[in-house]
Amino acid sequence: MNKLTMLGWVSIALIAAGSVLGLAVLPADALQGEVSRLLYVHVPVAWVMMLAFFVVFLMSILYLVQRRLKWDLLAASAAEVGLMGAILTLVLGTLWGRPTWGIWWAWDPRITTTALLVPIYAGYLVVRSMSEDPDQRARWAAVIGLIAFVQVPIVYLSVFWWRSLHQPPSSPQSMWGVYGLMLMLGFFAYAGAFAYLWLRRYRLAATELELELSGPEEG
Amino acid sequence: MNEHWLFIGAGYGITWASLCWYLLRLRRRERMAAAASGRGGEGARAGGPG
Repeated sequence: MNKLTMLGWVSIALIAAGSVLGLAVLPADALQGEVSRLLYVHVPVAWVMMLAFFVVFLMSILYLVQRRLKWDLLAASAAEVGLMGAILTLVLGTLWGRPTWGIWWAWDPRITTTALLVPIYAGYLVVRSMSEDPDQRARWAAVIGLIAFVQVPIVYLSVFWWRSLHQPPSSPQSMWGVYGLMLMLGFFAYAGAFAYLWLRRYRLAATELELELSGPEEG
Repeated sequence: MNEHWLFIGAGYGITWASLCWYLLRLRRRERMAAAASGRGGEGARAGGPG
């Protein structure tokens, strides 16, 4: 079993363990009741989404400095997985918001700024499909990957800048003992899953680029 | 049964379903790429979970 495969299985095991602990072992929150169990998925997925977009940012810088297509493919792969994370964060948030706030959606600063990440990174992926030249595509994408990341700290800081419906960030510091540990378990589980999907997506992107550069088959 | 469990179940279910969907999609694309590059599914076999 290679290292990547092992990472995949370890991540699945951690997510499964987190699901069992979150659903059946940990007691419900005194104020929110059972629905607080969504915290153990929503918050780690949101953190990992931000991590994925940070990876896009970092890989974009590396591409612009070194001009190696490897960094571009790593950025694009992280953007795709991060986009799934952003959509999942919003869906989980709305499933938590409905029973807690009584509404599916609010134009709250945290929710709205998170929602903006979806068209931004979907746009990043769309722009990539607009050029057939791998170097031009990588250059455009790297610039967008840099600019797009501005939105991520805005999402994080939105709950401090514009105090509204969404509560301040949950973290192991803001949560008592075992709940904080559970949050950390969730983070490592989903970060592992992200790393696994990201690297596997990168391997596929490298194969696809190889095919693209070799051109269409003759005959 | 507390109706909150519907939301909790949907949340955990959608998370697992999304991960499985992405993994299966990745695996299908890997097979297509491997077939196109003449490696006959090598990429898919090396895939790991999913």
